[in-house]
Amino acid sequence: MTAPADFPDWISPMLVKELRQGMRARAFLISFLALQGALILLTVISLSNSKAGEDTTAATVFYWLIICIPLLLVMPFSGLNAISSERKENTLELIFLSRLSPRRIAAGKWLAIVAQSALLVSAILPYAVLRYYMGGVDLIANLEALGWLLLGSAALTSVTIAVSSGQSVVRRGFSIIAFVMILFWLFGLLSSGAFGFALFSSGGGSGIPIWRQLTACFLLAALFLFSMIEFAAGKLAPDAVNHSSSRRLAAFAVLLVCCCYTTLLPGVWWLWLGSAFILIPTCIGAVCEPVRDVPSVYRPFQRFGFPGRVLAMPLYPGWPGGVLFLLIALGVVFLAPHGPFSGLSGAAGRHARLGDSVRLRVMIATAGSFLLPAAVLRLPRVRSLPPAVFFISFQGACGLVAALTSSLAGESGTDGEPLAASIPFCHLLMSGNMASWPKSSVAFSASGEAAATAASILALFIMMIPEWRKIFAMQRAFKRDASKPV
Amino acid sequence: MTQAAPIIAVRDLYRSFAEVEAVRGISFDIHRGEVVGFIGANGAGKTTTMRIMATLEPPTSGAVEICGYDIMNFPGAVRGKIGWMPDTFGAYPNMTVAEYLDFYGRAFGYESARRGERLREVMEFTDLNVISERPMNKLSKGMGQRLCLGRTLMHDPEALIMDEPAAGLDPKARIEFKRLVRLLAEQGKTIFISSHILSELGEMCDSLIFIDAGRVVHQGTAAELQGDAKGPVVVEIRLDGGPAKLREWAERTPGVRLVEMLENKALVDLGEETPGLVSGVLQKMIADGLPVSDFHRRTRKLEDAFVDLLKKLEAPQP
Repeated sequence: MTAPADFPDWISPMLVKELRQGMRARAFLISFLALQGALILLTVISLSNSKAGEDTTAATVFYWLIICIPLLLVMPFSGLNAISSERKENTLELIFLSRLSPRRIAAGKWLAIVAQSALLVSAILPYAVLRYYMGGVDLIANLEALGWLLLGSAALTSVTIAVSSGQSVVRRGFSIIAFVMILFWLFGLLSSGAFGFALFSSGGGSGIPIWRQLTACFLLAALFLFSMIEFAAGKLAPDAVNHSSSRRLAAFAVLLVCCCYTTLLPGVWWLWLGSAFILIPTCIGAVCEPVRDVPSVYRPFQRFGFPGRVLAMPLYPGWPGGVLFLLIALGVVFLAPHGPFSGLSGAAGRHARLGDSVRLRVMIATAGSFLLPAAVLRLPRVRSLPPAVFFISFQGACGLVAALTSSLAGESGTDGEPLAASIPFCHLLMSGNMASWPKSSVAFSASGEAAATAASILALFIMMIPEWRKIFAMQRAFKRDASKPV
Repeated sequence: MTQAAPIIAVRDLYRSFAEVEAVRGISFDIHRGEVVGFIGANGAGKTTTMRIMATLEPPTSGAVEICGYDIMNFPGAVRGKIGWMPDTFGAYPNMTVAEYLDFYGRAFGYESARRGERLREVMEFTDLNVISERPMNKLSKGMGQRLCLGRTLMHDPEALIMDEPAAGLDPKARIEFKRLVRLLAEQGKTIFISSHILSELGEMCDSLIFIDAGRVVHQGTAAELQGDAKGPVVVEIRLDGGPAKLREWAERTPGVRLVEMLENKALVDLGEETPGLVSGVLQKMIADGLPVSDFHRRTRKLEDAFVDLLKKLEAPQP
């Protein structure tokens, strides 16, 4: 008996396992064969159409459609059960007891699906060349589009892998829906209303060499993938393994990339839009994360000494460190010279009132959108709810309130809007309409949201004191236990 | 002579889940080559204790050392020393037995040649050679357990922690499993094994640890447990020509009570154990001319001894 020699030793064991399973899985086989069949059919039809001199637009649309379905739907969504099925079958902890870290497990699962997607793309290449010979097709542009599709598929797969660590099917579905909703909401928010003139008036990336934009894009994509893999790894790792700090570090790296690039190349505003997909989930995760009662996760921070430990406090796993991380991240986003808030009009002078400054109001509303639900989440009865689900439900409810009050105000002229806009997230959503409000209403809602945000910060700081004491006590106990023989 | 350091040392282990204390101050030592059985009712804290030992759960307090490594400070080193065999594990679709073991060989860092060698050793030991190319989701329960044992042995661990490994196996597979456990112990492996089937553990293990409600209630050999839970001495007697003569003898002999007459043997209650009681009765039977062909003390079942022990613990203290 010799070891199966289908894969060399240097390939990650997890990737070998997943490829062995994945390449024989029905989803891949059906996708591969169906794609080949559809492309053969399409080529035959295109060939006859081009001979007859007919319009080939429909064939082109169909060509891209049949490529997009496996690449953007079938393959990424096959990752939706990747980790949960291992957990359900009781096999995850067996892998975990080998030398494979949760990070390598999650990365292996992601890479296996991406490798299968790449195999699908490679199977499309002969047809792309054939279409070129039939005429009317820009081969390079086609190959470039395939490359972007593969990158999109890889990014989407990383999201499904991250989501697949959730135990319940409902929660996994909910997470995907929430992700898509956030995607649309961000595009909507940033292209209209308060942010419209801040970002999209800056003229996109025109005039900037393409390689610079590509470098920025790949850097961001790499950090996004890392962040998603870390999210999945954190979910499947036992409590004693810390993946929160690395996610927060990745978020800080994203901020650094965005600040540097937008300062050097002010036209690449879209970096901030892309960074939102890393920063928002990381910030929500950070303020929702419970404090772990496992001393070993705090062990690596001990080697920094007292000043280092204080500086590293935003990286400590658990919501107390998460709140500090959030405040720093928001500070950077708010103060970045070419950040998303830099173009907002009405920068407050020293004596300007809150209601007059759009920028200040939107900043406070953004901070409050994270801090208010984080503070509510610490209340005794709410604490037992699943944190991320509560957080997103809270924001969903705010969205509903904003939509209802806006439509009621439009229909019956009732004056509920300023009251609703006192809630930070509602204020953020409604800030685009506030130009038509009376000055007193804007001032009222601005004061309300500022009070809610300030109260949230105060409450969180008061509640985090005992938690920090507990964490430092655990670190001290850990130090004692480590030197004590059994 | 000083005793070697234990391979597994558990000290004052506690584990709570919210308000529930699953493990309450468990301590024990297991030395190299020992097979130790872990027995308790459902919810007694067996699996939690074993999962803590396997670095899958953190303890609330207390310490566990495996091969000298603390599970909290050096979980990675502990994982290299232990083999964890859970009661159930799922089969991967689209994967053969050999590929499954090969995956774990790779995961434990074996390079190609050494991995092949290890794969051969493990497959020979667990007799998986004949089914090496079979999809692992097409295996019977017994074959699945052998594969699970194979996976557990892939990195040649020093200590094996097995949580109810024989559950659901047929008698033949159980006998085979017992044989493999004894072979592993002979190779110097330290084995910590839990089961509901007490008699089976009694035969397989060098010593037993009984837990109830998260606490150790007895620790020792099966014979010690049977001896600890004292009861009347019962002997099983066979006479040439059938046990009929025994009834008459028992009626006229003080301290002897016939419990049960079967077709070719009888059970006799001799009362409380006293020095020389059993040998004295045998001598008297021979002296009275009874044709005794078989005479042996009936050992109490381990289950009965355990139940008696629990009753004793539950009884109100004076």
